[in-house]
Amino acid sequence: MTLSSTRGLVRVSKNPDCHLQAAMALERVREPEFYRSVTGTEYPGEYGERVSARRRGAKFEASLRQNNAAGLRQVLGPLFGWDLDSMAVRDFGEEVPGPPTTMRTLRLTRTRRILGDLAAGREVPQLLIQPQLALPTGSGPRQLEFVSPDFMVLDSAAGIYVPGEEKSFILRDNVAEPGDLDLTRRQAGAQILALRAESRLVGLADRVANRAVFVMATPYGMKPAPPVVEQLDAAVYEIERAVATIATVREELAMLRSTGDAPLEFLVDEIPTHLQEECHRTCILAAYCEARQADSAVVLGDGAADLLGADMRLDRVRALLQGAPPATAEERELVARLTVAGRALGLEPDDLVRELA
Amino acid sequence: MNATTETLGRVLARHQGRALPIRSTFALSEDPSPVFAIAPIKMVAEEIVQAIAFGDPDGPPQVVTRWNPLSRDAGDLEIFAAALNDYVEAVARGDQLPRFWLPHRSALTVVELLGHRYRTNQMASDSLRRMGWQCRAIAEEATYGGQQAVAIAGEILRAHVLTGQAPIKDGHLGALLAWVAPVAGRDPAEVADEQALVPASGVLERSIDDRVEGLRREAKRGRGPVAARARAEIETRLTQGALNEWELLLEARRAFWSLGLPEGPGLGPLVAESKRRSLYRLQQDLNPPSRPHSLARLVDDHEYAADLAEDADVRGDLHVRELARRKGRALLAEVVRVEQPRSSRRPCYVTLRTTQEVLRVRQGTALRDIGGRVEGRVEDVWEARGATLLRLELTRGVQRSRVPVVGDVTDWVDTAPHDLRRRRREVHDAMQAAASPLVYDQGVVGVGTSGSPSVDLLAVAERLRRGA
Repeated sequence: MTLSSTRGLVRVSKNPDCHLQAAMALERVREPEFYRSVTGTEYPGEYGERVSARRRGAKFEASLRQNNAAGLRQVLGPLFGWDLDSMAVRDFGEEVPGPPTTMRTLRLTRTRRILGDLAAGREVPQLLIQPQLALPTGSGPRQLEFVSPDFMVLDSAAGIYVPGEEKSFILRDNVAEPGDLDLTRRQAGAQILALRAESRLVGLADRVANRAVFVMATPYGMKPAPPVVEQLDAAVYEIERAVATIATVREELAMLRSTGDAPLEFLVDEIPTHLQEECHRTCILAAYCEARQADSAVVLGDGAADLLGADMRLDRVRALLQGAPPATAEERELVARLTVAGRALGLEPDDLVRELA
Repeated sequence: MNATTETLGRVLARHQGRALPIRSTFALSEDPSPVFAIAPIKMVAEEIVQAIAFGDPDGPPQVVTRWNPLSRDAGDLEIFAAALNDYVEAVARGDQLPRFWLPHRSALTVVELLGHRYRTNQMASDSLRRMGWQCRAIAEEATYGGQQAVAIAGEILRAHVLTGQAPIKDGHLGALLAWVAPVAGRDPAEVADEQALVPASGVLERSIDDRVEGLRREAKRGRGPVAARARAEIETRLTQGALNEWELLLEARRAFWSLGLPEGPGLGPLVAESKRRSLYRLQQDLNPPSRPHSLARLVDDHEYAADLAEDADVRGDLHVRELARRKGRALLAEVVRVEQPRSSRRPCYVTLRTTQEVLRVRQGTALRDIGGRVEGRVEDVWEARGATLLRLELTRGVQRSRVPVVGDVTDWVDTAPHDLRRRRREVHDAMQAAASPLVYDQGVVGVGTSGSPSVDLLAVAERLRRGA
């Protein structure tokens, strides 16, 4: 699985200070292969989506799209002001099948044509399944990421499409897991920005609001829950930052390669990283980065990194608590705070010295 | 716990190579007997049970496997439903606190979804529907602050110890146990990272999961020997997966009780509340609250549970109290004056003197001593000679045997839970009788736009204020 398109943008948005991750997204690396070339060993953990997870997602999408997307029309029609029986549907998955590399351009052309028709006031389908959008990440013609919403539905009131995601997550009492929702919102953030960029080409950018619609599952089989329209200002902002990071990193890579076209794995030590707790959940290189910063505060988590400074050595913290003279005013304050904190753990300053001996 | 204390704890734990206890007492009462443990294995993404190991954690578990969990036939779950109900009936007969042990939050989600899927499922048997409401009751009880009926091993351990690794890694029960019960001669950080390579969230290991997925296709192909072999292999692998989860749960439970802390002295009211709530819900099918009154009751219950839990923690645990002291919500004070005109009668005023710098006490704050024998409301706060003086009017504990005496030095805390649920029910009843459209209708009735109302609203308000 490559780190590209929306997936790469979402990952960069979660840690925009890690330029290595942005470089991986930019170069569309295959993560396990990149891990092997950087570390010299196979990735020992689990990687990628499981067969069972893929199957459920595919079944959920298929159930919503069968019979001319009857399932989707049923839940989306009333929400966006359409009679579900008279909704016109274009399914690009059926019109232009094939692997992403070959079908993206064709689908993008057709999506652009529809947006052009909309701008010209001609009749357009109310529902687009698997449309294709492109989000510029730089000024060059090839500096873009392909973004593929699961669907887009025409909002009769706003006169523009709203991107949407089908997720087989199970809602319990109409509530989704926050972790699931976070990724989905960021995906939608990228779709909103890409739709706005495409709409700008035909003069409709002003109509694109920071909102998207999610269709998720109930606990009962493949039945969809009532769709949720969300305002996604924060997610859009995060993706904008990710796009800016990618543009910056593109320039940094160009600088690093000004004397030769070194592969990314040879540049790893030159590119700034930013280890944070979330990396352990999302990035294949988390353990590698952690090993490079062993015995620094960051291995104890984001809270410790914020308090002590990510690069603060833990042996320095221990020495300070054992009475080593503070070298700076910050260290003096830190010792005072940690000493007071010790009491909440039942440890007086002398106990702390003993515990750290 | 604040970031500074947590960071210090993690520094110490990393240095010592083992988890550091952050409580002086257990926040969970001793396991009653019997206990019921549940270790499910779910299908990834489907959140459907494909195997469960369950039963008394001190004995061998029963294991139920479902080679085709997506089938409509849920008969395999009948054994689990019967065992769960037997347990519920046994604790109800003995009027005991039920205690369900689960390995992690993911297992609770599976149990909750069993509730969603079967509680009202007309195609399911009565016993499965009953299992559905009992599973929902377990999941609902787990949401109450300080509840004592549902012990989620990973969470209860994390509430008692700090490890020397990043908090996100503590979410993996195996990685957490590497610090709580370290392997001799090995760096727990390394062991934890090794453990984290295998999921501990109620799913099969990746290679086994993919193998089972492949076998299911063969197993569905009729009744021939190939299908039979596939089913048998699926069942073997699911059984092993469930037993692995079961072992993880038992290890976590053992590690928890091995912390060897004394039981928190304030757990009694929490046990009583938890028992009352869970026994009631486990024995009858209740619809989730949706009306104003039932929702209000639910909020009241949660509020009271949270108050009780906070009080038990602050009064019962030295470390939690120290944290409260740093926020000014607990104070060490000396009794310097007692005014009680008639012995064992109200009014009774007690003046406290404290030199603590951080105080969050003002007129009207309710304070109680950590023994919970005496409680009062602050009447006045003033400073004199480098100390702060507080005058309390006692609202509880005015008997001669309980009134503090001059010279007593003790901790006072501002966690004084009051059970106002009965009073609130009366308010709700009155509200229902009044049938206010604000509560019972779709929304506020709009005021007409044709001129101002014909009544003087200020005069009406004035009359209401006077009670006329």
